Amino acid sequence: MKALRQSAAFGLVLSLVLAALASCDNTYGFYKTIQEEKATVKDSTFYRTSVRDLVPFDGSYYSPLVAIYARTLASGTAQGWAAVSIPVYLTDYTTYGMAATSTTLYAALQSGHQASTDRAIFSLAQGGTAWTRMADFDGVDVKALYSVNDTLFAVRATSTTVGTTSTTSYGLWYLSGSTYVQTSLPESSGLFIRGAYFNGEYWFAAQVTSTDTTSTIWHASDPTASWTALPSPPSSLVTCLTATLQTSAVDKLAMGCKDGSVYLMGTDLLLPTTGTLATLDATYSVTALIALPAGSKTILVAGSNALYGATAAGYRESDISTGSPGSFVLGDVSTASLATTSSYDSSLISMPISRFVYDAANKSLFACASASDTTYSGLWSNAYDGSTWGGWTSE
Amino acid sequence: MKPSTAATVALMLLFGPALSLSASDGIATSADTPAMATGKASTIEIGDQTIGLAIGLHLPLFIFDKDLTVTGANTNPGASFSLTYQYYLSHGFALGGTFAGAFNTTIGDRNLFVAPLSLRAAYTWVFGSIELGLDVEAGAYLMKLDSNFFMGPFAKAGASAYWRVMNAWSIGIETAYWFIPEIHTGDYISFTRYGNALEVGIAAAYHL
Repeated sequence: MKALRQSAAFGLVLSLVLAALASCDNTYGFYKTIQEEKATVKDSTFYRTSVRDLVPFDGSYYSPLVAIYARTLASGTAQGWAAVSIPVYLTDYTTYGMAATSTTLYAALQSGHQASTDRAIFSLAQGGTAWTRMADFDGVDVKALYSVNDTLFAVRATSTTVGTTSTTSYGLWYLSGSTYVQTSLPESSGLFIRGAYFNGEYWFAAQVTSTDTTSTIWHASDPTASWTALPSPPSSLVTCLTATLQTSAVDKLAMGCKDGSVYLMGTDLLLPTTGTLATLDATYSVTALIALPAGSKTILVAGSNALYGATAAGYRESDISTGSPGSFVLGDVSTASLATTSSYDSSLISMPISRFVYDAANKSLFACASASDTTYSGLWSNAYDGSTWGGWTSE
Repeated sequence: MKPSTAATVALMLLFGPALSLSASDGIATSADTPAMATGKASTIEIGDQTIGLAIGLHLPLFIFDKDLTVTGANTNPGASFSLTYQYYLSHGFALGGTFAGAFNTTIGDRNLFVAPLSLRAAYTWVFGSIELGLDVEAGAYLMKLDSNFFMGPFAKAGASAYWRVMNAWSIGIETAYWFIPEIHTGDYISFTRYGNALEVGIAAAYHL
């Protein structure tokens, strides 16, 4: 009996040792990744915040939290972020949208006073220091501003109440001179997502009616022109669009979808067949897309958000140098281009990413993310030296 | 370990504080009334056994690679514990074992846990009620960094100073140097690194 107990104990210990050995990862450098880590900036302006956007303009970076925060390019990473003061509102306002053309920065703001309906679009001219309240669209409920091909677009919300039921529809407007003009696109029940300029045309997408399971994708050579709907859109709601041409000869329109799929559409305007599209894990929706240089490669980076209880988010990369989407790999694999394993694992690994912004003039990439469930900053930057990326640094 | 000794160890882990108060009731072999003010002259006999528990700071020092290139530890000071058993083979020399654990956070806010299990050789010098010791240990560790695990060899060297407050108990301080090789093989041999850390803590030893 004693021998039996000893054998059982030995077997248990052996099993535990084998289980521990089996769980070990020879491919992961523990101390190596620790050596490569950069310190978390806990006094960051963006610590545990949700950052939606960042706009480079006139030697500064602007990021809307509730108020707009800005730092100059010269102040350096993570230094000098301060709230932007707007006439009358000062720093007591809510930012709904922000976008820049080559000459002007625009921000759609609402006074911070509770229940206030004081809204307006403010502009800041290049080289100027004073924000100006635009006369047109004063008091209008603007939910987003986008800059596409140096044209400013505004998404205007209109609410209608019938009995006790209130519905909101969204219209797409563009700035012509100093006046906002509505495009010919129909009002939509879903917000128009950020557009792209591809193949000499403007592209926008939205869920037209609340029962739609796919997005309608429109394109037009000019905002004033008649818009055409893409006949065969992706089979899921489109959540983000980006053109790839700015970084290489790969001339595609990339579309990210709620079901995790990513489409690369060429100038023939034909969507790839099911067999050739690249997909992320179906439990992740694509929330941001950007095409970037990485040495001799062009990579497509897909920010994601977890669906259906999955815990991690972060981003994945795909080599699209040949014009076809390859497999997406997680940002912490050894073949990833944007960051080392440790840099990814100690930054964006578990954050939903709302947008990537590349300041090509200064070779700086920004990732806008939600850090509310982490102990990190929600805004990260990554410097490119022309051949390699330096990894993520907390802003 | 004899069954009676094993039972005593288990009881001591569960009811250590209570045992210390009831030592004179005979559970411990020769405990006396506490003599906190003056200490108790120590003696070490062949066959004596001790169980020690230490808690303290765990201070990562540096990391070097196979080319002996040294970098900072990039890890914040943390906490450690150790549970030690030793058996005296002579009036000063003992063999035993230690189970320990160290918790640290990295500068990137990741969680690092190292749990070594090691064999121990120690020598103790007695000066009245003061016991000074040196020890070396070798064994293996299990390391966890976020959700990743690793096992490797481990070595440790330390020193301690105890005050024998009663026959059954000594209290004191100890320090130890941890050497934590992370050895990779094959295509990943370049990941090999050597972690170095210092443990400083307070300790209590129970004399069985």
